[in-house]
Amino acid sequence: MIPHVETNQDLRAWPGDIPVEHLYTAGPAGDAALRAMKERAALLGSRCNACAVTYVPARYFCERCFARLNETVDVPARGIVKAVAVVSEDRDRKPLRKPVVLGLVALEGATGVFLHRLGVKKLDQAKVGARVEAVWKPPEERTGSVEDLLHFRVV
Amino acid sequence: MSQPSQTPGTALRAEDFSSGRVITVRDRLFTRYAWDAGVAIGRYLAGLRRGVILGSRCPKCDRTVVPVRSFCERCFSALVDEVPLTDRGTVNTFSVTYVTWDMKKLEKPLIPAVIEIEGASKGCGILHLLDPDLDPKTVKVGMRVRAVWKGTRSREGAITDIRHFARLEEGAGA
Amino acid sequence: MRRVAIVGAGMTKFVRRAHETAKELTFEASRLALESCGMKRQDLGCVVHGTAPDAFDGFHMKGEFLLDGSGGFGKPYMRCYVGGGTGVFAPIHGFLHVASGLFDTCLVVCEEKMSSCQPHPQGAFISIFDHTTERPLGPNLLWIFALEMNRYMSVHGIKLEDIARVSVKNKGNALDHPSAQLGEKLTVEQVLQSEIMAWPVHRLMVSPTSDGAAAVILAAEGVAEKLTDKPVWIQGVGWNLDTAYWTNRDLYYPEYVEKAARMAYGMAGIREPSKEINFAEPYDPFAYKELHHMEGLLLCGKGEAPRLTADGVTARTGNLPTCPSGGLLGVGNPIAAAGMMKVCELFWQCRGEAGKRQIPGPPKRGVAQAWGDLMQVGTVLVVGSEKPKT
Repeated sequence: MIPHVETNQDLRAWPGDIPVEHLYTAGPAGDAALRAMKERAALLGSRCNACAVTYVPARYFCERCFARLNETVDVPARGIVKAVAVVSEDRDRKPLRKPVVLGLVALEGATGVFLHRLGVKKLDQAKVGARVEAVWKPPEERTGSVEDLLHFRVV
Repeated sequence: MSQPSQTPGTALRAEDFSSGRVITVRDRLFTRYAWDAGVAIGRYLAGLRRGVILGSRCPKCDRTVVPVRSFCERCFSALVDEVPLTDRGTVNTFSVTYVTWDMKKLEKPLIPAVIEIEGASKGCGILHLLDPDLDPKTVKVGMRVRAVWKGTRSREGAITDIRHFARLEEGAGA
Repeated sequence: MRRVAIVGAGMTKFVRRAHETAKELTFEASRLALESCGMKRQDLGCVVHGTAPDAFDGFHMKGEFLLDGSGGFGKPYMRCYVGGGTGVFAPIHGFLHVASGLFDTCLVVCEEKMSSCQPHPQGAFISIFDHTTERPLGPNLLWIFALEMNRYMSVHGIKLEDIARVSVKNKGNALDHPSAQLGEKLTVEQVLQSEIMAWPVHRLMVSPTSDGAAAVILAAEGVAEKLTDKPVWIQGVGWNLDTAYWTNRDLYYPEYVEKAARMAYGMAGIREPSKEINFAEPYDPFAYKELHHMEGLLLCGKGEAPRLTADGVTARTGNLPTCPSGGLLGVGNPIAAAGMMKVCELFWQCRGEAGKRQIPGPPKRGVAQAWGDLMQVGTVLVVGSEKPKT
């Protein structure tokens, strides 16, 4: 039996948080992929010949046949847009000054799709089927992060 | 096949991070919580604001537990008999802690303890702190203690309405 | 129920900070376990994964996130969790999957990457305390261990030296473990002279934070014999949880461990555990816990474990070798993977494959136990070289 609350004074909530942050290593395969972005403005993939799959970014093992992946390949940083989302609010539901356009890009020679921003002047340029290519930050601004790739632009 | 003598796993040192030899990503979850005290603990907190430690009695199990709860986890019946206990107790166990959760040295050690509350069934107590001015060497399991309350006006209905538990001098109290 | 055996095992090194990601550590342990019995991922019936709170890694749905490294891609997959007890809880889940007849084989893998959690994994542990009645007091995980250790010592009149001997033994044993993080030759004096973190807990009585993974492969009777000529049979499983109101029970004795042990021993047909069990891997995140858990496992009477340790009974050469692996104190404590490391140790010891750590015999029967949640859960696994009767 749950009694009714009679006064506001009976209601107590305790504010708090879990005071941790996280520092992730990229691991051996992730290091190589992020270094390729930083040093060569390149997308590095891992090839599993047995499964005929190319993972981008590079991976340490094949999730299908469970083999260690040692063969890396440069995958052309261009492809075709498979899906588009236009984000107009931030996570607290405040309107963004400028909408962010996200795209899933099927890269030439890679399995699956790659998530990144689409750099378009007008929203109607962001279309499924559009051909896009990567725009990289200048070398001095690249840090070894997926953010070294600024966005994909429509060609 | 025996356990291999060479096992995978690459140990990193602090320099590997500072030199940038390994690439890392730092992130923080954007989470803040507001935990409801709920029905039973809401009443317990209201008791603390009045300067009373409340327990719950289960007539079926013949057991008085603390803090207040809505049901008996043994016989699974609803607990409706809320009973005031004393604000005295016995140290069931204690520690003298010198570090914080993130391994920083405390300037003054804290003395957390489980205190069996008089009026509750044997072995039923709460977690609280002992008087920080006690000489840790004189703290013993079995020592009798009493609650030291905040002033009525600064109480807010919180476990911290009890500042700490102090040694109950012989002859004092009941 | 069908009979179930462990047919393969593998683990990574346990290290303070691993370069490999959580997925990659999980993969390495899983790969080694599969290779040890000549299996491929594609042959697996199902996968069970054990890992600690999402807050450690800052990954919600961590089980799903680690799916690919666990070999669970496109398979029936289950994650399970009971805090520190997870490492022995996970193989119990795997056992049920196979014993039920649902699957012929199961990969069970446990992983933890605690180093991601900054500035210290204890920040995540704070959230195990009651948010209203305990957290405002500023507790941390050391408190509950120190409080329990003091209670255990006070009730039985146990000395700090008795506790320190466990650190000396386990860290010494770990010198022979190829995965160990903190193998070290120590003296009782060195342990007692180490920094007091939360009296009576000294630094050298505490296991480290670690990154690592460990895995076993389970198979049903009929399949197991084809995968290996030395299956190690699961003879009994048990688990039990006590109330989360931990200040309303006496911490000097882990009743929930006893209940879990009785469940497992009942299944295994064990009447006199101290005589019928050859070696033990009780959970030892803190030195006193090994003693506390030996008592809960009914390997000796209440308050008697310190005597056995002092007399050398629990040394590798003794009558009841305890934590021959080196335990969490020596090998390391990547939470869920630490319990699984103990299960791997049972497997290697019973097969006579434990290398320099090998107990003479090899032993016929061992028990592994893990513990966790809010000083609340006991998980127990009994294995042996003999096939169980039922």
